[in-house]
Amino acid sequence: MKRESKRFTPSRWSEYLVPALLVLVSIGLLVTLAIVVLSLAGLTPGA
Amino acid sequence: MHYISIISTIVTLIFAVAVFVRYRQRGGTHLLLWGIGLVFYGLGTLSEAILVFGFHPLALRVWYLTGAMLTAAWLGQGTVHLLVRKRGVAGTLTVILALVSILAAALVLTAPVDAAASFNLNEPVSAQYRDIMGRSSPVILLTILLNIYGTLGLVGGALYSSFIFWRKRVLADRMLGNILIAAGALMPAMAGSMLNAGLADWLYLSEFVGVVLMYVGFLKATASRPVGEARQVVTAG
Repeated sequence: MKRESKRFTPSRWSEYLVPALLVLVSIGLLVTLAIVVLSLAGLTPGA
Repeated sequence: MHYISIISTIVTLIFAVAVFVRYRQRGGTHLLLWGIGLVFYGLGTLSEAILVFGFHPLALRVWYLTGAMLTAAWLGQGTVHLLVRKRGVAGTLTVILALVSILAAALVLTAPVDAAASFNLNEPVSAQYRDIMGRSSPVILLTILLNIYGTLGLVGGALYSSFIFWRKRVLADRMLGNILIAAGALMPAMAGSMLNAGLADWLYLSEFVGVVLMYVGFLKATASRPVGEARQVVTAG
């Protein structure tokens, strides 16, 4: 029996969308960590 | 707007049941840890829902302990178990997390709560907790450390998995599912950090959007796939 392939070929739009999403979430993660560091350093209103 | 925590609780409960069912069917410590993390998530939103109707010190303490301290760390620990293959490392980290969680529980459950302070039922607890509950330096430090660890584990781990799938051009569903999980986990993490820093308060909305995105991501990542490939690739699910 032939096994179904795991591989996929990105569509034209996903070729750009997926990297953009990965970058966007990565930036969000960095911003979150930056806020925590600023908070620890006493540089935020709630510090 | 703070009634949204009731809907978040229902969605989280359904999500947690789905994860525990999958754990029962397939095993896998990561699923058990994600399930525990989701129970904490649900306890956090449930406490918010209870505090909509009336103030109770225990509800406030449970809200802080589960929502602010433990949820991210335990969800992240699930991902650590999935991705860290070196023998003994993930297990050791889980034991440490369990001990730290017990310490956190002891600190929060004995923290002073000013019952005389006027709790406004029309305001979310996230906007009032600082004036009501005394947070010692160890509690604040643990909150920050647990959230950094959990966020890096969960969001970072899901991003890493997505990137690997994208680079290899395999398992499109899992790739998309992990992107959704990363985005969903980032929502309450970012809102919690902003809240802790005294910036904007969109915690309740972030919890709702976050759990919906993570649930959809989980369903996508665990969609049926060819038999025999489950152990071949490192991923969420």
